[in-house]
Amino acid sequence: MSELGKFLIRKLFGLVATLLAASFVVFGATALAPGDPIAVLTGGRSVDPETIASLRAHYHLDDPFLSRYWQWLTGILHGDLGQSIIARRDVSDLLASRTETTVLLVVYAAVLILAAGITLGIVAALRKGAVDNVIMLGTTAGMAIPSFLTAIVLIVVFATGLGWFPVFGPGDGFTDRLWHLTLPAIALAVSSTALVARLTRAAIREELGKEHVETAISRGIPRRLVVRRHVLRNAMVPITTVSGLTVAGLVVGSLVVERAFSLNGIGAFLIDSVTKSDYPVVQAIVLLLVATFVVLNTLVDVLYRLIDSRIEPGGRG
Amino acid sequence: MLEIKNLRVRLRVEGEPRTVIHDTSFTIGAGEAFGLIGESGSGKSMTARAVARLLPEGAECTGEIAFAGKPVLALKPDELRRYRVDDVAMIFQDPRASINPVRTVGDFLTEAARTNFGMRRREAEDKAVALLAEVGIADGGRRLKQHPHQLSGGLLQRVMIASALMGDPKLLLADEPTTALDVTTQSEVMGILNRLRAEHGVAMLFITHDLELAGAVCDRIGVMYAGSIVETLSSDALHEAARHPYTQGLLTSRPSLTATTRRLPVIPGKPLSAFEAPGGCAFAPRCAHVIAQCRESGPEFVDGVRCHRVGELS
Repeated sequence: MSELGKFLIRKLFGLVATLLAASFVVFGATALAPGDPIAVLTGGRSVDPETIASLRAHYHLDDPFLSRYWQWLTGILHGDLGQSIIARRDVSDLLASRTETTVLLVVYAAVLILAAGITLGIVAALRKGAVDNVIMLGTTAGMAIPSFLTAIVLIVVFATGLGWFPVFGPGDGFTDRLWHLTLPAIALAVSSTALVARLTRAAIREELGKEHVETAISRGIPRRLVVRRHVLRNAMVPITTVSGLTVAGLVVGSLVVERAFSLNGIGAFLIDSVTKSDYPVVQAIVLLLVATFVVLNTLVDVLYRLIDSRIEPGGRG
Repeated sequence: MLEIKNLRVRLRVEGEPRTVIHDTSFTIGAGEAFGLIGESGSGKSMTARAVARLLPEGAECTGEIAFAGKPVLALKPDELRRYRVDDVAMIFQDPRASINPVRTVGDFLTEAARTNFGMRRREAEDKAVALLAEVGIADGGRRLKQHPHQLSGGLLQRVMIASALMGDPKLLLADEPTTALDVTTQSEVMGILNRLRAEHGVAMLFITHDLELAGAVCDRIGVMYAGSIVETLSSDALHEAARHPYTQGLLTSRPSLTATTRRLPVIPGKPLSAFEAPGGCAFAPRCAHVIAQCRESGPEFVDGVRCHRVGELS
């Protein structure tokens, strides 16, 4: 089998193993967490012990830990994420529409981050002087401002002030949704864009100083081709790392922004479910976040290998 | 063909201007091999870089570098690019660092020909394979598809030599081309470089700190000390007719295969860079023949040597 084929199989195996381990940690953590779902369900009213017993039996709350984990895991593998204790509906149904909003928000923000971050980084790296200084100053500010603050400023200026964008809600239909999600996506993207821009700039600057770039110049290759073939191409490895991790992190970061813009997404739902001790929902969402993160990371690893053939399956550089 | 007159280079080191080459003049004829020898920091690499206009940012260059009549220091960006494409090719010290690690050997070898001469990939690859065969790499077709990390340092330096010859240059700038290699492959690579240079009729500026090697490979030799050439002489005259005390010192501080010495004679003191040199002759603090005049005024470069006492000493 080819080197690349072996590499992909190893990566796939690693992915499954990581997810399995993560699922155990997620289930274990929620099992250990304080709070009793029955108390939330009964709303503090005194309920006779028989009812409580039947509720506990219904949700398998008294089964041994491992057997509960096994049931949960096999359920997930069959596409059954369990039932919400509070809403008494299938978790997968509850997540469906919310996932759509969050995915769209994250993808929108990711596109903004990659397009703006990498462009700004390249421009700053290649144009020393005023342009570079302005971009560096802007990104320093961008990194320092937390996303909830950006969200508030954006709402005040562009939504309530200028009235260009809606204040809240996810919208209906694709274009309307994009319009509704523009401000949230920007709020989510600002600090990551700044980070990606700075690291892109650093990666390109480092590559510009490499000896092989000098070799290309000494052979009379025009500068723009030197930059494209030898600088940008080589700087793609660190840029891909940062971009991958940043985008994966957005899934978690979206939770704050969803709150600020009253978007009924996964993040908002997670916070809600945690406060209500709705274990099945919390477990499903956390596992979903972890899975997204792990899958994106694996994709980044595969991209690396395609960019730079020196990277070996074992992860040795 | 290459004429360097009163070259002076100042670099910016942490904002401070520092002289690294101080008044250097020499010429290289078409097809001639000129060896520039000296200790680390003597300015020999900077001289080669100045010829290719590859000095670090902020470097100031004065004097004259003329290539076939062209004023190299005054070339506009586009003329400079043409000059690098047609006239000079540099062979760098460390092939592993000087070849893009993420692209294939084939990309490295054919890029300049395809970009600058509009050669088709096939055509450029054929030429590359032929040149690889000349540098002693028989399975060139397979090597073109490999990445640099799959080749040894010696092989990579041969690839570097082949790539320098791809554009049929008139002058090779070889900056310590074997220093980064394994001792066992050094002489092999040097042999290849020397043979190909002669076969292709290319002139060479050969930078090294190995006096013996320079003598074997080059027609003429320039000895650099603290940023200036202190003596130029023909390789044949190296052992018998070296006149400058520094050259003589270098010659006697080499181990010999035949004579037995308890201690190797050395030149006392440490080598200086141009910016550290005192007024007067830069070599004065280490010279065995120093007189008061040496400390007061720097000697001029006259008749191939830069020394006040050359008349009495040689």
